[in-house]
Amino acid sequence: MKKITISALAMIIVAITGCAGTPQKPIALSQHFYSSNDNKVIGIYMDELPKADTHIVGAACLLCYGIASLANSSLTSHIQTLSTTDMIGIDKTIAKLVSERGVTTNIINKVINLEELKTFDSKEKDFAKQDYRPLRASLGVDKLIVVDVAKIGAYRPYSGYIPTGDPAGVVTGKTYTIDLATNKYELYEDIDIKVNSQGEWDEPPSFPGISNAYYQAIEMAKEKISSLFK
Amino acid sequence: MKTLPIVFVLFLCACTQHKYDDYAKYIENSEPLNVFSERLFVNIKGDEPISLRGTYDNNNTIESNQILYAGTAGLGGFVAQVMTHSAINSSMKSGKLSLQQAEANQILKPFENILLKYTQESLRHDGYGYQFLASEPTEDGFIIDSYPVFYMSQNMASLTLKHVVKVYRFEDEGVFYQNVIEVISPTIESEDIAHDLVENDGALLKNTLSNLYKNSLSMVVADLMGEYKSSNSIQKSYRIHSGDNMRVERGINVSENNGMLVIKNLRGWLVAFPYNANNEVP
Repeated sequence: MKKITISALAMIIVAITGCAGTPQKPIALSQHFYSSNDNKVIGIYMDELPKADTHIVGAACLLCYGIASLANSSLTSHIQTLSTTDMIGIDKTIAKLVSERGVTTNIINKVINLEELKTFDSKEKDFAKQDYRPLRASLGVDKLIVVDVAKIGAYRPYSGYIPTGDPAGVVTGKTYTIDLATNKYELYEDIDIKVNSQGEWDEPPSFPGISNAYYQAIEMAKEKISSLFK
Repeated sequence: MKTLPIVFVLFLCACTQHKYDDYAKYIENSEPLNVFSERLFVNIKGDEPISLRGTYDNNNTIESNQILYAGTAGLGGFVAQVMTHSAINSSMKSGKLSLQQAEANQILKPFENILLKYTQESLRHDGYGYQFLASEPTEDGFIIDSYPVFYMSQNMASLTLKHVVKVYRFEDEGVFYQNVIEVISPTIESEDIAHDLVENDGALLKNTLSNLYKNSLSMVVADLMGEYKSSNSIQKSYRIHSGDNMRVERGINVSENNGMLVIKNLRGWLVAFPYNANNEVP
């Protein structure tokens, strides 16, 4: 019985630790990126944007989260009405920046389900954990720039039941460039923009301070993403 | 039913926030004011020093402070513990903002001597459509309560005024108009900005602050007269460069004149800033 318990515990520990992968470190675009790609086609893909929402972080227990959601419900109702269209168009901005450096670009409008890509095993660093290589033939591009927005809307930090900060406008996600021949990242950057409201924030029902912070977060995210290709 | 007080307290916790003196809720005048037939008096606290502050980081998020709640305290005890936790957090958040403001104010050290002698009295001027109140008004008219707060960017290259105004008819308690008018100066181009702002007893500094104040009162008068109400512009984001800082203001364009754009932001506040094609969000 004792052996079974120990084995079960060992399996649980292995399973849990196995889930925690090493996060990808940032990779800056090489100085030779543009000169080495003058006869290649670079695809630019902006993944489908999530809807604007309020993201509560740190309300760790179920009751804490329920209470925090309830306390911020009017803010959430408003945030969910905000448009994300200002974020659209960053793919065109990147295409312009890359094209200006003499590289052929192709904006990918077809929806790619990145979650469905097969896993890719490599013990070397800076390789993607999913296999992007099949996209080379299906999209007709040699390299792929991906803008993947994970969260957009408002962010509020909590410690249990209590907020530890005022709500902020938020855009998080990642931008990466991947060589579709090797599946290796040539650029990788996390996007984590949080902008606090100027002055008071609790202005229901239209929350103009937070709404403005939201639009500022979008502009700052666009600025950061485009700066990666300058 | 027992959970009601908890929910109530937690609602309060979520709503507790720092009070800002450069903030006012926009109250629109119900009808345009004719400044040619009505008299407008500006009421400013002349003997008080100019309020000039360094632009500061307004992120008040604090590190999560873990508090162990006693499980045997009952419902009342639990509520009391949550309230204590909330009070500690509110105090820490407010303290963080105050500290950040104090640190940002270090930028003003070279101007300390000038600011000591520079009172709001110096902001009085001959304006179009208004006059400054010398004492209590003796005839009917509208009073503009004026509360200007100036900010200097951390590279000293830009000055900003946030002007809280409240307008009411003399001997009438009701607010006719209330707003915040923000005016951002053009960038001060200089090799040694501190020196240029300090020399001649701070002439450049005083002149810039005075111009921001004059412009803001002109904007108040224009808004009272309804000049900013006829705009058909669509709401969009504008990038505003203020010294070493870039911020975005969402609003509608209500006026463009002499390289300055005036927008009405989402709060209804008026924001004027130096304008060129770079301010447009691509």
